[in-house]
Amino acid sequence: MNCQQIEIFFRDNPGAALPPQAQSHVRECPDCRALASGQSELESLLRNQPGVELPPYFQARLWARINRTEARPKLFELRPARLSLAASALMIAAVLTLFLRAPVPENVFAPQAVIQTPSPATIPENFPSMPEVNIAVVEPEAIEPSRIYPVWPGEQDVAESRDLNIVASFYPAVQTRDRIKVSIDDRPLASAQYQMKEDCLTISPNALAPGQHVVLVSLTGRDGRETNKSWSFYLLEERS
Amino acid sequence: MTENSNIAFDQIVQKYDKRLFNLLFRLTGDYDLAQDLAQEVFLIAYKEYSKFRGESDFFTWLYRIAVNHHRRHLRKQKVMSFFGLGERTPEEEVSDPGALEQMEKIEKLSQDKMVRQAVSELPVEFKETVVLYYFEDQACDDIAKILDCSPGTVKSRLWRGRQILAQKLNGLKAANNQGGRNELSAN
Repeated sequence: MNCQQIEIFFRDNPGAALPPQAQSHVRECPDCRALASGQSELESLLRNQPGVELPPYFQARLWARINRTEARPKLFELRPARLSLAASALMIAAVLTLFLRAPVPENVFAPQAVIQTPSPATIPENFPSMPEVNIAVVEPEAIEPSRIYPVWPGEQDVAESRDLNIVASFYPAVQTRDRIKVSIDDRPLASAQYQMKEDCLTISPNALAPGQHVVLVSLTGRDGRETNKSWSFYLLEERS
Repeated sequence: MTENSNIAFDQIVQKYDKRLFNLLFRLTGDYDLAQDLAQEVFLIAYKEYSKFRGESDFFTWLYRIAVNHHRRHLRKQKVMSFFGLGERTPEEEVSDPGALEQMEKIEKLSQDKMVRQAVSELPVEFKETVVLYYFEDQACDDIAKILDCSPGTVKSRLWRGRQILAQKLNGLKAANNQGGRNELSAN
């Protein structure tokens, strides 16, 4: 064996005794002798390091710690994956709540409700003075009598003739027995030219010439009362 | 955990507490810190006990947790020292009176102290390997499993670690002898 092989032997066999074929080389080579003695001295130094005694009450402290952790609410043990799930669920819930609680009217084309202020309540004589509060009350009976609202084209709107659909909405909802009549420029339309869907009237006129047009929608309720709504719009010439 | 598994875990603690504490003491060189880390390692082991599949020796599994926890601690310490936080003052170094007594016992053995100092100054990957091999009597294959590397890497780290240690110990011995001579001449 040569010096390099001796070094490789020490590297690959930590703590092992030198083989007989290496011992003759180590006896003759001062570098390898120094390396071998240094390795063996270090080995014995490291192997004979004294251990350290455990701190007193180590186990008692450990079990107290385990019990504390066990008693802690599980919320604090949420792992990142669970936390991200919980955060997503919270986000969805928040968005849903916002949508559900947003003050969206039943029908965006509904008329403004008339707000009335009732007379203030009587206060006992010995009651401390408080600022006067007016409570708004919405009365359904006070809704504008007209029940038909143009959506598109609206009053004085300008529309293109391509795929023209005239849309109007009803509020309150149309009853099953109510009858609807539609006419454009005083010409009644066939029932096939318009349809009602979820309080929305869609009129599909066959052919309208460019220019001013007047739409008239009549609604006759089951009680015989008639509601009319008339509006005009301008139809542009179709582009070539 | 059920009562039965608590009893089983208690037996594990009784069997391995001293070895684990010694491992962490060698790695940190700090008696109090070693105690904290050892308790945290047992706490992790307690929580993860159900995940131990018995594919490796239990102690190998426990050592792996300990080594990883120590590395985590070093990273945390590095970050904290970067921001100038969490550095212990000498007064805080040993707070437990029992620990102080233990440290005094250790410090008395000057040669052991030198070895301990030299080992504590090793780069962490060499320190882990040297401590596991020499102080914990772990075989190279087991160390490879604990440190998640190849047995060849373990052997080469041991060799390199021994070289560094030999240099450090020679330096410390020389400094010690020089100090002794200075003390004698002063007397």
